[in-house]
Amino acid sequence: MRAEAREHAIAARPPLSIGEVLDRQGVLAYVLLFPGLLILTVFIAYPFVTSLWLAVTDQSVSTSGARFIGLENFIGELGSQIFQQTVRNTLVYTAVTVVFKLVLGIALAVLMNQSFRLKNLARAALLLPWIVPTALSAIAWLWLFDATFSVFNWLLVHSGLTTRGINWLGEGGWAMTAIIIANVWRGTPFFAITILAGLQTVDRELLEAASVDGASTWQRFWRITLPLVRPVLLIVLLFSTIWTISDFQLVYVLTRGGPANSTHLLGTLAYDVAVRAGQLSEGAAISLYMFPVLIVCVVALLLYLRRSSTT
Amino acid sequence: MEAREIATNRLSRRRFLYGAAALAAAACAPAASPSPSASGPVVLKGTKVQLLHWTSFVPDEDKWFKETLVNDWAKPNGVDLTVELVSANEAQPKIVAALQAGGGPDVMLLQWTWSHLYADKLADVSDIAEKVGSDGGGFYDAMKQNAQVQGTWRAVPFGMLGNAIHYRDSLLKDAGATKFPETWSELTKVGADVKAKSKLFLGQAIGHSFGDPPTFVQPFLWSYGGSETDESGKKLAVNSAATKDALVAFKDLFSKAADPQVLSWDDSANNRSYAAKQIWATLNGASIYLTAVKDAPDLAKDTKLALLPSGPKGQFLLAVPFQYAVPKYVKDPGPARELISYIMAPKNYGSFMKAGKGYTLAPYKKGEGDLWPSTDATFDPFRKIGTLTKWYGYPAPPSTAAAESGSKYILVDMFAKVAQGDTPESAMSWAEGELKRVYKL
Repeated sequence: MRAEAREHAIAARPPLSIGEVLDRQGVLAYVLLFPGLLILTVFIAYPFVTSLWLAVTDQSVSTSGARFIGLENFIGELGSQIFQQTVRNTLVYTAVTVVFKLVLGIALAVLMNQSFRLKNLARAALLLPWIVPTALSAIAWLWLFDATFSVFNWLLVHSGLTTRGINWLGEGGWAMTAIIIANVWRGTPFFAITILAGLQTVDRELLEAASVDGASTWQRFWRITLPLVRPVLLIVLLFSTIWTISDFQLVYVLTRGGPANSTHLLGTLAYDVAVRAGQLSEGAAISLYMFPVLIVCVVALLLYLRRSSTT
Repeated sequence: MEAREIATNRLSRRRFLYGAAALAAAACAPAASPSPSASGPVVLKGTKVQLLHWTSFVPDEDKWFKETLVNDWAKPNGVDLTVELVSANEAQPKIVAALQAGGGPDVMLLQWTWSHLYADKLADVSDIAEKVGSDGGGFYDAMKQNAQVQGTWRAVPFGMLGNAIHYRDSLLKDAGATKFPETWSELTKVGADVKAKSKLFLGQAIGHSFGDPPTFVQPFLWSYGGSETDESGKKLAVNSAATKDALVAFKDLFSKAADPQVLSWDDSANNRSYAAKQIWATLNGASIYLTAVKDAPDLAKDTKLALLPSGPKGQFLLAVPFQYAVPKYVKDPGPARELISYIMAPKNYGSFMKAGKGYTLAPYKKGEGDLWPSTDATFDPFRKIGTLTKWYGYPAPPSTAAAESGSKYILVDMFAKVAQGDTPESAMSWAEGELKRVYKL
């Protein structure tokens, strides 16, 4: 009899409204997660899995089907001198630019942390290289480094420093220098602004106490400021390493990987091989060579973030 | 009653089989027939056609497509024609993306030997190509080689950008020469003399760009007897005494007459430098001369044109060829095919050549005869280009591997390495290693 009454009560209960359904935490969590998961699946997971599949096949633009060939593409690339040179270029480019961006970023951040007139305007202007679309700023650099019309060369020659201009983009070493300069110019504001945010969290009383105790400016920076902004530095370093190692636009606009492949990075070579030469599977394999380095960076970043959140 | 039911069932099964066979035949019919137009007139009214074309260095050519073609063909026929113009270096990514995605332009302009690279994904256009060739007095051999894949036309030759050396006649004469050199060794000597006298150099792009670099280095190699492979295309031939001779001669020419800055040049850098009077000679399409005629008459007056010099094995040229292809993904290829037939008909092509003043040369022989658009004698060397030009992979027939090697700029980089100071032996060995991977030999 009681069971019958309960069944009647359940049957009589009106259906839940959308608001009531969303009030349930379990449902709401999935609803909120859905757009993010959809974007991740469509724009990141699907292309990534596709590139994994492509890399172990012989798919090219000229063929309709694909045959599984295991690690042949990866092994084949190791024998290519262009690929070997590209790996060296990528490592040099990443290492040099990240070090320069770090040093210049810290210097700029310390400078911007001082009080001076038009401080806010200067801080906003600092971000300009980072805000301007890379392809646009790269075209500006292309003109600055142009073989015939370079402003730098005009200055060098007309100031009497050299008798003829530097072959910025036409000689391997100078071309690498040119793309490093452009990358450092573009990436330094990111370091500076992020470190500046970190610097502003440093307690001024600590610095004043150290000053009273007789610590010099350098000692205050080295012993107090730097250890306190270290978490920010690490995160910025890891992000910058990831972005620099997978750089494409800047190099592609400035040199297209030339002269004679001396500035090819893994991203530009993968594009040339996959899209221009039509070897989609080879291109995918080349781009996946970035993956181990990137995964180390990402794991380090995640571990660090987890540790800092638990402490 | 039971027997009748069985008979009816058998009949319906048979009917079903007939029906299925008829459906299958209908489904196969478009594939079996290379020409939809053969099965009846193509309905153009109300259709949409997207044409992917390159942005010409002569703007009047683009104008012909955007205006004349739209007004003379699309509007009267009720076709909604979209002409998408992209720079030559950016065309390939668009084409690859469209072919891979199975959707995009109805007609695409291919370069070089891309018809071989994408053959599986391009419709058979043999009937159009044969008619265009016949109406135009016959295609040049190189145009046919580029567009025909194993006997089937995968594209219709559209035209070619012939390159000639543009040079300042006054500077040549100031250096003591009476005419433009006919051999590479003479050019090295004259180039060095002009450089010493005028301080201007021979500006030849040797970078990763679609036109000038390959059209210089490949004929240079051929003229010394060098090539990527032998005539069969089955055996690599790049690491040879002939290639070494070519590279030694090139190094001599480069060090005496050129300048290292050209290693970063693309196809537009030499145009700018010539216009700014920073170089005295350069290999280029007629755009330099045509622009000078319009914007700098004094420079145009001093500019003369010459075909590439000869090497010990003769004179060779490599014009940049273009072809029209209809991808297989196009569901109704009729309007696209009609568009190609219209553009390539000699009368209409003549109007296009006139608009571009002969910058793009016709792929067929009427182009150097009846359709020749210029009365300017300076322009005459361009008439010979069609018969002298070869193709990627020469002396072997064009192939997917040759197209891939061209897209990877392997021969261009071999020359660039020598220009940068590598020994010819080291550059040849490097090129051989890369070509082995491309040709899978």
